Amino acid sequence: MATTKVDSVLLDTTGTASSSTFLRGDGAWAAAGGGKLLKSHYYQNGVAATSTNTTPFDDTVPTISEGYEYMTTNFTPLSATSTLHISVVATVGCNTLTSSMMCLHNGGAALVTNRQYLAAGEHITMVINHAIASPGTSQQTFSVRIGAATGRIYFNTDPSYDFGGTHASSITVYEVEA
Amino acid sequence: MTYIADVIGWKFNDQPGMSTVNRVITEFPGGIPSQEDQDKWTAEYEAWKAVMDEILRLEALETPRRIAEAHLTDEGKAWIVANRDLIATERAKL
Repeated sequence: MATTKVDSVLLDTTGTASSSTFLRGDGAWAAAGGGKLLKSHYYQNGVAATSTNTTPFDDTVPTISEGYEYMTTNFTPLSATSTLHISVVATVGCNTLTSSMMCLHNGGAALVTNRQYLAAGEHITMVINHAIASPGTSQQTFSVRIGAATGRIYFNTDPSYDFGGTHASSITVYEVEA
Repeated sequence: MTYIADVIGWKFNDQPGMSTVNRVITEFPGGIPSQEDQDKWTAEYEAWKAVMDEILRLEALETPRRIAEAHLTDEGKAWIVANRDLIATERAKL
């Protein structure tokens, strides 16, 4: 044995050394845990779409029937005790000066809303970053609905140009072990 | 290329319930309008937009220098009056 190496049998360890275990400070061979990325999911949507379906600019929680559903994706968590980090990025424009609301839903329930004030013809990137405790190991449906208080929303496009459909909005889900 | 979303937004004053995907109407109150109707509304919109674009072009010609000259010289005033006549002609088409 080279003088720079220590045979594992000489260590006072518990557990089994393998390609999926690491030696912890307490001398135990164990799988990585606490903050480990269990699963990731990326959904991209480059479809140019528009809608006049409004979302009221008020103190009520946006409902699943308000705005227009521009993106939806399914995600099945591997663990019931993990945390889901959900990131939404959307390219949004409007034809008039108005408030635009983007809401992330899980099933029929609103999770979080982002509101931006848009000038007519302006095009911006709207973002939501959110984390929830895993709802369990059944399939979850995340959807993104966007609606202006008045006027017309442009998603992945504007009135004149959509760059050949190369705009990209997305939903990314990272499942992280507790 | 005229965007059908702009056409129906203009024609129906952005009434709720109108959606498009990839420039195709996917939601419309009372059902998807016929292609014949869409073509008719598109022609109306393009005619309206051509007039509005010309009005905006004529109005943009009235720069601070032109307006100053309208105060200072008869020629400047005549130019502004003539431009306003052109704008009125366009407005009459709406």
